[in-house]
Amino acid sequence: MKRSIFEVKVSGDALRLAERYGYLPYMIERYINLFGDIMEVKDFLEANEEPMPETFRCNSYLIDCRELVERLESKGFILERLPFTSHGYEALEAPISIGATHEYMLGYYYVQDPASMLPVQALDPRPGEFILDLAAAPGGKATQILQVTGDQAHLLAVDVSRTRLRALRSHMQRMGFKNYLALRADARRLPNNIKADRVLLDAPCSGEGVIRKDPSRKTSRTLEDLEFLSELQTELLNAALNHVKSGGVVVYATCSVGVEENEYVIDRLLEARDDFRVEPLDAIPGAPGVTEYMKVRFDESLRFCRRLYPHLHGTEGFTICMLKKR
Amino acid sequence: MTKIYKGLPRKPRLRPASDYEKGVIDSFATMLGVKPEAVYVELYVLEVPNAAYVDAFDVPHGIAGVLKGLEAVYSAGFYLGMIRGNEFKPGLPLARRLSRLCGYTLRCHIVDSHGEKIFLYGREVWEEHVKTWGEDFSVVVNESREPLGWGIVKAKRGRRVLVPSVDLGWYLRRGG
Repeated sequence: MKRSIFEVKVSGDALRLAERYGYLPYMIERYINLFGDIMEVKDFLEANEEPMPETFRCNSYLIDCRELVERLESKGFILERLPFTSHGYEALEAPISIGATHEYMLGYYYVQDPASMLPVQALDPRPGEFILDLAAAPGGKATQILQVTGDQAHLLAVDVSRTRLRALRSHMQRMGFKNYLALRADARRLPNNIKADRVLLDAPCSGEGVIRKDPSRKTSRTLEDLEFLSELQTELLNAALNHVKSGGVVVYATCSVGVEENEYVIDRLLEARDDFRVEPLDAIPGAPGVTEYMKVRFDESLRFCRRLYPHLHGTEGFTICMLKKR
Repeated sequence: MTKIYKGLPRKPRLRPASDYEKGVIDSFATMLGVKPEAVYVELYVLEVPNAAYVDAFDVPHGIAGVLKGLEAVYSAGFYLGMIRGNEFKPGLPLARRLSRLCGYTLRCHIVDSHGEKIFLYGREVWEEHVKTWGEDFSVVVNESREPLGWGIVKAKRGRRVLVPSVDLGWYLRRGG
């Protein structure tokens, strides 16, 4: 039974590393199973000790990115282009917080982690298309969808949290976008007639991938929490697949390296429904998706998913998969 | 014209604006000296339960099509501002939209770099930092004509000051 991945027996190695790095032991045991090599687990844990760099996405809808760079550099910022992102920059040196400049207030950029910029690149939204963004707030990817389509896609941004939708609305206004509708709703209970050309689901997750930003995540989620999240993610992804047109794509992403929150979720749905397949993500960097974990085999096509790791790619931990509806 | 705010919904509801609501915004446009079509094309308002105001949006045609049958809409399209009774309080995106008309049909306030900094802190700008005065109430821009918000001219200690009505610093202070 594939559900056995939630039955974690903690080894002595896991206990020692958990104590040394301050994690819950079950997490380390999972990393040992994921990487299959204790040295790589140590590299991963060491990389998680490094704070995230300050990064942002230039809003090319409002400003030429070269001009933005010049303006920020004239104020003392030292910037570098982020590899494998279309509009990403890292602030190597920042005289003030990157989120407190006049350029930020003018909507010329969005403060965003590097791997978080990739799901929209995978989604590849086009002008004129109807795009559904589930769990959309606070709006990093929603604003990116409108940016790359020149505010010409029709975006329905759904989130259940009023507070987070407030932030989404604020970012939309700040960055100059109008082609969106923000809906406060449970994505699992949308009207059946909503059928989008493309759907993005950056699912609520354990946040295991953002330990570099939030070390409290080392201990804040139990194995039971993980199982609950995995169930929720499966329901949300099932809804996402219901709301995409035939031939359309769903991009599923989490800021987690947990197999339970990624390949396992998709594998369950591959078993439950036969109307979609996993597509290659050639343009997105990362390690291949996992097809075997804790002695459980998943569908071979899940190798097409992309996994980003702090020790290999310098980003936050992140997983991206693209699904195509038949 | 019918009065608004009757029969408020239990959930936020986005609907086409009434003639009364259009009239409020048209009057505002006239006060600024711009045509209503410079402000909006398709005017919608968002009714919120128990609120004494409605939010006004310019909703693109494609988005209006998506809207049908949806409840609990939180926001949609281009935010114009807030209508309370017969008053319209413009929002920051509208300052950006109208700033393109500065120097043409719209008389904007232009502030220098020090004035810009002060204004974005939400503080009043003394006249030596205002390069050009606009209408009493108008869009405020910097010397590169980038929109900073809305400001109103007042008198203080016998001198003119530009007082922010709403400024881009709001995005840091309250915007989330």
